[in-house]
Amino acid sequence: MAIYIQKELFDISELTSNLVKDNTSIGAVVSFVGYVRDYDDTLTSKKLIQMNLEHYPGMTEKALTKIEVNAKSRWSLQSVCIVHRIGKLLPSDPIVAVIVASQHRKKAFQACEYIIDFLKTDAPFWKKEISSEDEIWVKVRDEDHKRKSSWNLEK
Amino acid sequence: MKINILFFASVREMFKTHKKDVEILDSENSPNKLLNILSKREGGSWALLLNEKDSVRVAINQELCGWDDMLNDGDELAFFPPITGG
Repeated sequence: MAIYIQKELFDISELTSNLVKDNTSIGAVVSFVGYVRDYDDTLTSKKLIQMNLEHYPGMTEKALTKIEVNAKSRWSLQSVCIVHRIGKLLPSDPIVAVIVASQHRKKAFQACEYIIDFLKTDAPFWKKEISSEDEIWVKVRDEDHKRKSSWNLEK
Repeated sequence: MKINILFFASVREMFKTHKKDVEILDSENSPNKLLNILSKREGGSWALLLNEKDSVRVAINQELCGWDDMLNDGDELAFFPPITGG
């Protein structure tokens, strides 16, 4: 189980190498990386110049561990790595990575999507967007909650 | 009893502080009751928080919870806006 909350940039290839190291039963790795976009239509100028990411130390790690445990009970997975950055980020900076290793690709694809969908609604992170005119806390997207709920309907 | 309160994101900005320890009566043992009593007793940011309660989430001891869940002496109670990570 590898969960990292950090200010520093992460290296997706290094994280993936560490995940598959010494495990010859892994047949598939799927990774998702989220980046800071420079466009948001809720900003007056639509143009984001910086994002500040805050979290709840302690609860974040617990929430991510719970999501990972739930994913592992739903699919048989070999290994999971979740990294989320905090602090000041700029457009094009990677924010989050979810890497899932399993024996076959289907489980890895599904589990990776499941983990990022639950991370969006259950892990206590908050984004503040900064433009030349505004500083606004990002609002919740209904779509994120719909995506999470859809997992409970699937068998 | 003593409750250790934490604020995050927009709620932290509302209170201009990250944490506050409060003393409440044993009968004021839910986030809902605590917020109502502090809003009456102290007003200010507490009254603002009560006003925006529908868009505020609560956690007791680092687990998301309901407004009527039970608080115990020494608990960590957190108020924050809906989560927007990832």
